[in-house]
Amino acid sequence: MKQYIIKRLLISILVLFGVSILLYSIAQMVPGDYVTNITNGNPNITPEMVEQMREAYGLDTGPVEGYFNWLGRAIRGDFGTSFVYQRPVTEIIIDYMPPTLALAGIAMVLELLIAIPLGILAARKQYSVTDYTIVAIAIMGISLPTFFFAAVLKRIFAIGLGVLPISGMVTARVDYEGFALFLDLARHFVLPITVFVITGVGSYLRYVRTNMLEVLSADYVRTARAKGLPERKVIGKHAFRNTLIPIVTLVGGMIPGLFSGAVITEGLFAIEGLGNIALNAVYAGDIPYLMGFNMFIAALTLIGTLVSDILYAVVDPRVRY
Amino acid sequence: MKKMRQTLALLLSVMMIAGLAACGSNDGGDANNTNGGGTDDNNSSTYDTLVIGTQAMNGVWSPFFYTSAYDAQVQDLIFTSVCRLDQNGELIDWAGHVDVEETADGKYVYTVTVQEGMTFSDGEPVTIDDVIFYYYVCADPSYDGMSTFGTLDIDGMDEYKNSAKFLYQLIAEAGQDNTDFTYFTQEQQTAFWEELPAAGDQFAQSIVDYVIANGDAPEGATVAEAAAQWNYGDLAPEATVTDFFNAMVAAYDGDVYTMATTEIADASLFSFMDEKWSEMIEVADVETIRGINKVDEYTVEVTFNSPNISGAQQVAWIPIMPEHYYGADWEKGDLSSIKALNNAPIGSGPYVFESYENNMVTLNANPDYFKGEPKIPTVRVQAVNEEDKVDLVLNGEIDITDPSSSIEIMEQLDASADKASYNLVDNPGYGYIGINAERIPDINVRKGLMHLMNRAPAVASYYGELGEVIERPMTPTLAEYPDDAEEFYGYDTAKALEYFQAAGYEQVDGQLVKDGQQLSVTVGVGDLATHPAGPILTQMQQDMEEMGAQLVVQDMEFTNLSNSVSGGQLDMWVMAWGNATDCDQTQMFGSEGGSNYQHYYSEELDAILEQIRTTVDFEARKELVAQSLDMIMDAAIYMPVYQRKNMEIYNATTVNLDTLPAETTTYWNYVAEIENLEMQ
Amino acid sequence: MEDMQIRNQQEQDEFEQKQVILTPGQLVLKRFFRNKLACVGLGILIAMILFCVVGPFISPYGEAEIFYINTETGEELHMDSEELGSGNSAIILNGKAPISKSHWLGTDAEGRDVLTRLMYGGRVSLSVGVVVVVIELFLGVLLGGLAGYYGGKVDMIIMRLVEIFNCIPFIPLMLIISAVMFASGVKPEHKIFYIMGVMGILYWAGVARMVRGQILSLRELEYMQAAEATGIRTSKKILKHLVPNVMPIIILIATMDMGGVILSESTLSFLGVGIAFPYASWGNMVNAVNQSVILNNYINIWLPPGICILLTVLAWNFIGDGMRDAFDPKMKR
Repeated sequence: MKQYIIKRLLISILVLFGVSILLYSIAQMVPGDYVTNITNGNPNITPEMVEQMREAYGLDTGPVEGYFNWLGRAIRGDFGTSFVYQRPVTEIIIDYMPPTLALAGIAMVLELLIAIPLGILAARKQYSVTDYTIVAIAIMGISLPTFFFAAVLKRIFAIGLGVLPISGMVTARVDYEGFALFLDLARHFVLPITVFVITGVGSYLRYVRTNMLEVLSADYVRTARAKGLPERKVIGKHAFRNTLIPIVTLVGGMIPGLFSGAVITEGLFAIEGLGNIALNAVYAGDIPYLMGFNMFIAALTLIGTLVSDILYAVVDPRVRY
Repeated sequence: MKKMRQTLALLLSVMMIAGLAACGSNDGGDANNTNGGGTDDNNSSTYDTLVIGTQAMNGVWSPFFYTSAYDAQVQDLIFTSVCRLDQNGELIDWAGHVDVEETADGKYVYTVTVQEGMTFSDGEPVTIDDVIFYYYVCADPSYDGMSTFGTLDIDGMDEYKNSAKFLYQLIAEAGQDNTDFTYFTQEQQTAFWEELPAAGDQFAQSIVDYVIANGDAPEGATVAEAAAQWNYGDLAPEATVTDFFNAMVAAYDGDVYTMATTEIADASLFSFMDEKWSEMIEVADVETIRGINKVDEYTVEVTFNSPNISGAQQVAWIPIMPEHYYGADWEKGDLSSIKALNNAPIGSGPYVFESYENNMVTLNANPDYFKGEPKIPTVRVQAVNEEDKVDLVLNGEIDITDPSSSIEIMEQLDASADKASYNLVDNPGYGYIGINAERIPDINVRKGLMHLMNRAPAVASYYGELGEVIERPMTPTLAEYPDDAEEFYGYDTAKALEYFQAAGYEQVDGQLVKDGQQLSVTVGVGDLATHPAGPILTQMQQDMEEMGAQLVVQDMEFTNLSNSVSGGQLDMWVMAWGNATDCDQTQMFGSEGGSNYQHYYSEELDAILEQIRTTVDFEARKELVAQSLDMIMDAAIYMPVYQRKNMEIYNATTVNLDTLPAETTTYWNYVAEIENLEMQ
Repeated sequence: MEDMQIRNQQEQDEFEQKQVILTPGQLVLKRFFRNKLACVGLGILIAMILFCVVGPFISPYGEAEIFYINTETGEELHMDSEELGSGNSAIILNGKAPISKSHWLGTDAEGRDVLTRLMYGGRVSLSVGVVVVVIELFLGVLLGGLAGYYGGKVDMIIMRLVEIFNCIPFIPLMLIISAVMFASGVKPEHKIFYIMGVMGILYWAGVARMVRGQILSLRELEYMQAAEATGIRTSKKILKHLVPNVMPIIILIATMDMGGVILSESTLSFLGVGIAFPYASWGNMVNAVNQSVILNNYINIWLPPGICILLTVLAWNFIGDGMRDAFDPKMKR
């Protein structure tokens, strides 16, 4: 086991290395570079100024040289200075992480808390009204784009009923402190998290339901039923444990999805998190930030995969290494 | 989605800071006065915080290095300027004063003073050293911010800026036979010239690749074919990249440095050489700019070598930044210590920066503000979405903001007048459709295209009374705009066809062809929700199809569009200028202009543009401007489309509307008189 | 006795003749049509396909046709009207027109008929879903199957490939690709094909991971060990024994992604890199919901495409559920 984990870790580092090359070439291909973007359309900028700025931003080196410069520094934990924010990338990622983490983390927990029990319930009562209702509602959530839900929910709850704030993270007018501040933040996060959950929970729920259906028709469940075990035990002890296997795989895969979901959702609610600024970085050609952010997500993705693979082995003793 | 608008706003702010507003303006826009003029004795307000709604900020609160218009909005509250623009766009005294005098030897001396007795928010006094400090930072050889101060023709500026050179420049400029080894050794010189041919091949190859990638030469074209596109047409057909490089060097009489900086495609010649040649070498010990002279603690003189109608703005419409704070560890050529303070600004403006967190900037009133302590103790600037702005004000979450205007929003606000009030001001910019004269060299084709643009129905439907069709490529907020200008190219398909035929196109089998090639034009567009070009182009596409021609509409994400426009990869494009105040259009229409994306070069036009820049008399200048605009229209390179109004809305339940400025224009809004603003 | 035997034989023959023997395919169909939701889904989908395929032939308008209106006479003008060149300032674009006899769902901000665009847009949205899913399934099932079945080095390499693909950020990549497409001279009307290809290639990794996981646990089951013991060909083992058992999960992925892809396309439109102007897709039509002015005032512009997307994705999912249940040999009902 220990050996397996170490081996996987080493491989992950190798993969990360490959990913960095890929990401760097993608970042290099981002339409237009930062200097062109900020100088474009400013009639007073002379070609000489542009050249001078390109040198200052290190954009005048070739991609290969640029990559190795970047890698050399990145290994030492220095991801460069963001063009747009004029601050070290690592500092920015740490600064803007909390809202994203709060949004994505809470949403993920909620999604699982809703998807697992309801998925199991729907599977147990297959073809019943309960099943149809749960499935239909869950699918509706994955049937419309994120921005559609965001716009409509805002329209109803924030603008129409006025019970929740439209956007932002805190109420600007008031100085809240302590618990009141927490409540205020929470109020602002209700709608974004709802959007996350609505658009995310459907696929997990269906996944749980499908797997539960599989398990429920397995022989050992029939045997368990046949020997007169109470239904509660059949589900809880035999069926549920076996549906855990695919669910575990799912959780590992959820992490990058949540962060990329944040790219759109944060922007719609004017929440200054990693995703929101990443989108602006793409437009602006802020290569250092893009590289830093993408590497961060890549590392998270790999960790997620690794953890789910290990958990996989833990919950399913049949899996060999 | 929002990119276009953001970038426009960015341009706008850039222009404002660059301060070219020499030309003055007419009354700058409608001044819908919201004042009811009531009395107001109650000093006890229910609200003590003003919330301003803006868009995503970058957190760079330094006037030296900001790039976003929204950052600039916050800076306006933290810093004061020596002079600023008034309601009509004319420069007036603010925390200081500027005068200009022409000397006997044809130089222009600007005398800039700052008021005595002002202090920064940390208690230190404001002196002229702080102004001089600003000049020097912007003129620094390593300065990479948005100020164009360093490009001004100030006496001694060049010597100051160019006192350090790249090693490769020094060696290349010295030439192969140089014997002066002050800045580099003979070995270095020999090594450099030995290394050069290899880099030269790569450099020539990069041009060939660029020409091919750009589609100017076919895939697999020979070096000679590609070089011909780069104006080196007399190479032998079997020429190699080495021949191409040598031909370029020969064309510049062996001056490699000038050649390399002029013929550059997408990579510098010297970037193909070893990095050691890019070392900076201090060639002269120039520590000061000759033309900037401190007179006393509150006065400085700045000497220009040539006349500049925007000179006063350039030297006086600048933020006052504390030298003792920003300049503590600053030395020439290294601005990193100033950049380190980007997120912790100190100024002498009406408000003092406290924090930037949760997407919101908190500012506190500055008791020492030179116009008096502002009455509202706290101002918060919150980033919100463009689309949410109106609802946020109506919901009472924010107090003042500037949504993009529309008839529907106006009706909505009129219906809820108890909750919100608004002002409309003319947007100091305009939307246009540009044509690249290099890609469509035949003026008759361009004129034909112009006659196919049916602007009025689209503009009327998009903006209603909030926008209008304009007939000349210049913002009508400028006083020089010729108000009586008439339509140059009306929508007329028959005339368009005539022009195409005059250009040699013939209708064969339902196709409009010339030399076997169908007339096909590619147009790039960005966000069509904000520019009424969609219907115009749809109509144009249909009409051209009927004639047998083709209009290929490429819609692109905004960054991609602007890069393609500046890269000259589009025949035609749709964009807007956020140009604030300038009637000098040399950069857009002059042959050397950095924004001359239409690639139209005319000496006649250059001459008249130059004349405009140095003509101080308003009436004469207006006449010249009208002439230049007619010339531009006649060249069929720019079709102005619309000019519209901007909106500023105020929360009527929280803000004391009576304390807003009596007159709000493009150049003068609540920020100018924020010290008087009160809450309810 | 003999008589009895003959009678018995006759009865048996009769019984066999009367018994309806169903092929596996017919069994699947029968089970599928027993599922009510699946039938509803199929109905919706067929209706949508008819609407989009036949609709444009019935509609009197074109996809990109714009309309003008003379504000004085109230008369609507077409693009080829002589009056457009007259310089009459009363003629304006008939944008955001309300629902009327000539425009059943009104017109959008650019003066185009919403209903007609809905028909054309559906063609794009429906085919984007199908094409992308086919590509991702082909790659995903193949590679995921190989990885799961062979394990060891093959698994190692394929799974690392999956990880690398998982790490490619979708949005920046699409923005870049759209820029590259312009630079390499791709015609706007062909852009959507490239987008479909790229999405298919990007999305296979998720499928592969799921399929591999499934096969990994199937491989350990007794029946596979039995199959192994009989020494049948590998290809037969995979096709006959493994694939039918991963079918439920494949169908689930396919139908879910069918909707997911339609949504991705709309997100791309939201970011400004979707289907090219002036063509319609439900995705770029529903984008109008982001403009608060349209959201608040013109429900006829943003709601219809929303409903179309919703119904189609629902239908696909219902069909998927039905198919999954019908295919699953373990389902006894």
